[in-house]
Amino acid sequence: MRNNEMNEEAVIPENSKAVIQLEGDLVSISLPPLRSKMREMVGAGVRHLTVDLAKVQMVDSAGLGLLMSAHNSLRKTGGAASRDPRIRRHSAPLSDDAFSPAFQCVGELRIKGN
Amino acid sequence: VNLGICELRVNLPSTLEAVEEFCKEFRIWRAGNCDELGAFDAELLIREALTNSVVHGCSCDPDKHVYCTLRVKKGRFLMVVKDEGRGFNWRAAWDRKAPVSDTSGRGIGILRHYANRVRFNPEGNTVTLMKRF
Repeated sequence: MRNNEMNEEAVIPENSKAVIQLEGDLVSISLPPLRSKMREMVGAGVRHLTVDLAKVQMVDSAGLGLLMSAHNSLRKTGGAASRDPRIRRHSAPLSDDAFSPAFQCVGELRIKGN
Repeated sequence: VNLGICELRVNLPSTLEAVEEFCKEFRIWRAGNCDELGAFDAELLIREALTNSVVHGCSCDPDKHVYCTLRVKKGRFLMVVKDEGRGFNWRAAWDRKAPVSDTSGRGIGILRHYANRVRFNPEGNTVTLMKRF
């Protein structure tokens, strides 16, 4: 059974780095708590954020928007650039050619998949 | 919702919760009627079209409604979504490519990428999508 609620588990920031593991669907209805969590992490000093999408089954345009928003926020803080290209096919549109350019510029935000 | 035929018609209140409930129904319907249809692509199209209608077309007003028809016939998945909003200027958005750092503006691009055909009515409050499978 698909989990339609987005669960997140944040790893304690260390040296301004943190990992947030997501489970469920990264879609419009599930975004508000995740947005709050990301803001909280950035506010707490996180500058390098890895988003683990290994257990995410669906990402819509609003989900993409949230990831870009996180990227933009982190970029303003001057975090270092890094990118993880390992993204599951069915986590598209992250991985589709038409939309991957949006993430080729992603620096501070690492997108981790299988 | 009749899960036994290859056509599904629903009338949803204009809320994101209703979109979620319908997506659950769709998974059951797809599995029972057209499991050859790619689950991810079809659900993403449904989500984008319905969410656009709910959020942009009806401003999440639960007193307004979104009408959705899904039909599978001869290797084609057809989807029509109509809302009670005033529509929008889809022509202006048709070829827009969101700059990489934008946090919105990818919805129509996703529809065009994942569907084989996308058609809006002149007012922009009805979209028809077709996907071959």
